[in-house]
Amino acid sequence: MLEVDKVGIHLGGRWLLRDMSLTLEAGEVVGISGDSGVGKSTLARMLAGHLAPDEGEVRYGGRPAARRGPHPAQLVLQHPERAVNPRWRIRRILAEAGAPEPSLLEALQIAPSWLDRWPLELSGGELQRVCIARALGPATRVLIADEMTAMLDALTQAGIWRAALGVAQERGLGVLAISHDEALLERICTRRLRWEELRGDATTVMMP
Amino acid sequence: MMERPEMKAATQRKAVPAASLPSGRLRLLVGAALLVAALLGLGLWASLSGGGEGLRTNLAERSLPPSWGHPLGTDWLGRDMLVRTVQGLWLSLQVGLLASLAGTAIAAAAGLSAALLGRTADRIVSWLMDLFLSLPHLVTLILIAFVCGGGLRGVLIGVALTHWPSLARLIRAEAMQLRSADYVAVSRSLGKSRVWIMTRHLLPHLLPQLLTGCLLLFPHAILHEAAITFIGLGLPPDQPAIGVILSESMRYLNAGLWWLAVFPGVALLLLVGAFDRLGHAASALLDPGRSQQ
Repeated sequence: MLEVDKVGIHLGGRWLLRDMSLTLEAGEVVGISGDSGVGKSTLARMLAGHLAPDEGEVRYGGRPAARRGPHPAQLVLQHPERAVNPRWRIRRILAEAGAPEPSLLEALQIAPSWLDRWPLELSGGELQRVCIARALGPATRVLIADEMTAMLDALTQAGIWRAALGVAQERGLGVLAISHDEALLERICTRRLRWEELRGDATTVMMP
Repeated sequence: MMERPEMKAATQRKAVPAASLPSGRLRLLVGAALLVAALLGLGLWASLSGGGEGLRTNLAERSLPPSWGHPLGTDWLGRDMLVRTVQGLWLSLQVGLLASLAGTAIAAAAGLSAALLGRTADRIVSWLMDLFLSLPHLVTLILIAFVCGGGLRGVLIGVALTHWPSLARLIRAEAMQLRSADYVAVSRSLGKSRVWIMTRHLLPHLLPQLLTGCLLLFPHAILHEAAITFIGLGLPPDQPAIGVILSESMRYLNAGLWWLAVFPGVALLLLVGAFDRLGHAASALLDPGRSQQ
């Protein structure tokens, strides 16, 4: 489903990431944890196509993402209020990924009355559900959750994850969850990886 | 001793911030409405009285100083200067409006493409902006109007082409800030094209800046139209814009016909000043950083 082959990305002559490899099968929920600032969010943005890798390759179902059309991997960010245009109503925000199916909205517990509101009129948790619904368009194969529920209380967190994982399981999507919250990852993931494990052969990259 | 009432006023204002804002807004709205009404009245009057009694040559009444019959006097052909001034202002207003709208459109297109169409586009547009900013407006304007062969078209093209760079810079900076927003990245990953993102996500956020920019361009456009017409490269003499009136009056100034130049000049100044104030007030109102002042 998702194959990450020794990717690297650099900025101003400094490598932010290098030699990162990872595979993700359909229906899998993989959790990645690691220290702050190691590049987890950069990796997430790259996998979702927001950034292009400077070396290596990311393949979705065996080939690179098409240059046009919706990206097969969709990212849900930590701050939903920044991920929506504040001047758009919820209906329009959702429609950006194509008209959402009623069953999807129902699964994510998005009330029809929200659709005519502005983003400011929803709480963080409610807005994050909207962002997840937008990320789960028909073309999506992989859902990448970068600290998707870090700003929410435990109860809301559980509700959102249950809904998102329900949809992912039903459609056979791969889910990549990035978080500091070990307990959360333990609970939701089918497989867990530490950041160090992504660095393919880190131990052998000794300079001669 | 002088500071006390001021400090008192300051603390009072702090206590009721909500009350001071609407009154400023209301003042601006009333001012803008009055200005628009006055301009509409001006235009109506100009088009109703166009070619009427006032503009007819009347050699029996030529070169009369201001009087009750002719509040602004008459010119060397006996034409009423009040009617001529109003006609001229109306024409200048139309030219200024067209030119500033065209300039704003160019600025929006240039600023957005510099910010969004990649590094090469940015380099080209920035170079063009620097080029136009490095020359005095009037010099470029004279060149362009000369190349276009004068007339209304030359003035419009000239004013529009010389007045876009400063606004385009602002739009470029704002658009660069907006394009790094998370929702723009999401929109791109949802497969939306650059043009789609530009028109749907960015342009609505830039409308206040564009509106303010257009309003502030307007006085410049009118003044430059008048200037270029004054030196003879603008509107032809049969279209009596303010510039034509002022330029013709120069020949009669040494004959003591001061009213030919003074009243049209003052009228032009008032019009320009009114739009300038409106533009600054609108920018104070629409700019969130300044709207509380």
